[in-house]
Amino acid sequence: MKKHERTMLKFAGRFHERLHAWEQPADASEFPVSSWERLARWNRQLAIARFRGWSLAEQRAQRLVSTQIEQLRRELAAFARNSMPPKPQIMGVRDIYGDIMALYDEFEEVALDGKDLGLSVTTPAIELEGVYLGPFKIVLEWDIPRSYRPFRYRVVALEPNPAASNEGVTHPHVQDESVCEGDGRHSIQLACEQGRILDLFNIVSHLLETYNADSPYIALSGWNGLPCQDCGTAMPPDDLWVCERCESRLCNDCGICCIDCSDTFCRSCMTTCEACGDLCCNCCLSACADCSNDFCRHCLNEQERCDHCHEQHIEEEETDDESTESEQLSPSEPPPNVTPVHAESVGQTAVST
Amino acid sequence: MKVLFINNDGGGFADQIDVQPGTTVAQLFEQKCPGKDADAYLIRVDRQPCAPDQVLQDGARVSFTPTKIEGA
Repeated sequence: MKKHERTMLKFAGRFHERLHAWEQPADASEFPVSSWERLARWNRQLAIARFRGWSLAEQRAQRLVSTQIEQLRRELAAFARNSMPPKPQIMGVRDIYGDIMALYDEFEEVALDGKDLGLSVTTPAIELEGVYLGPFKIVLEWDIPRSYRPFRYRVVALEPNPAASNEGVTHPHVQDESVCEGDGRHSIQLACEQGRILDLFNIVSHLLETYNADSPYIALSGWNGLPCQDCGTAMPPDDLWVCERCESRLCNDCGICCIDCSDTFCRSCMTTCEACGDLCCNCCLSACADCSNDFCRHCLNEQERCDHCHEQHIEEEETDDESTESEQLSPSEPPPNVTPVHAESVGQTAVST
Repeated sequence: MKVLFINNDGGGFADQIDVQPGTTVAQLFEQKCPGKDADAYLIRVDRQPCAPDQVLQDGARVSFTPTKIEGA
């Protein structure tokens, strides 16, 4: 027997001992106290009815007692099952050793480093939907006493390419070296309880090679970040803005703040103020009462006129005022229906001024 | 005869079962995983790859492990 085979055989022996020593914790099932009390009550009523010769009452109490006995029997059986779970069928040392040696045929690398449980395998490099995730090391560890499994495992990314938004997510279904087992949970649990190491590693390996788009920690579509919908630059999802109007995803450069409301919009949802040239959202723009062009609130006065229209308005007002004054100062023209009288007609001489 | 049958699909199963002498791997798969595609499983007899028409021996260990298992 080669040296590494002897090492593995010793490990199989230790592993088998630890497996036997592990005690699965019992579920805390409730003793059926209320059903027991109910049965006792009906039983007392049955005894009273019999003593007093109340036949109808006796029949009714008898039915209730029978029903309650059946219910209590079912509840006690369930309590017994949960309190004393059957011990799983544990693999023998020979089977455990056989599993370990078979790992060399299934995986690229098998290692036993003596630390903690220490047995690990390395998967081939994994790529899912064009996203390279690299190889993973599946490492067995002894679990805490009285836990639901005799040992646990970690999944370590050897060439990590984590999601842009979370460094701890090295695989869509792995976070902080812990796998979300999903469909594999029950078969992994059974393999752990029985010490079927080969099956455990195979199940976890196949889980890593499968992408469930319905329920990842982070979807592969956003693995390297999500694209800005204006310029196309990939950004971590948390670094993206959302246009308040059309809900487009925007990077820091493409998201624009409205100078009035300070909300963020895309360029398409903003308009330039005709006066100052600043970008403003459509809600914060108002039309000038005179020219109907769009302006921000800073460029409209209280009468909702832009500066240009306001000046024009003032000029017009001034012009009107002057016209009014000049009318008041100049000789009044004769009434329209009266013929003017010449100065010579009244014996006067016209004097030029 | 008895074989150790391990099905790592769904809830998992691992126990001794009775099979008729002369049962092949393919026949056992058809019995235990009706309607399923054998290509979607890693099938091993005594931890080794096997042919579908391999006849099972008494005391063999047969395992079926889906190649696609969805995490959550």
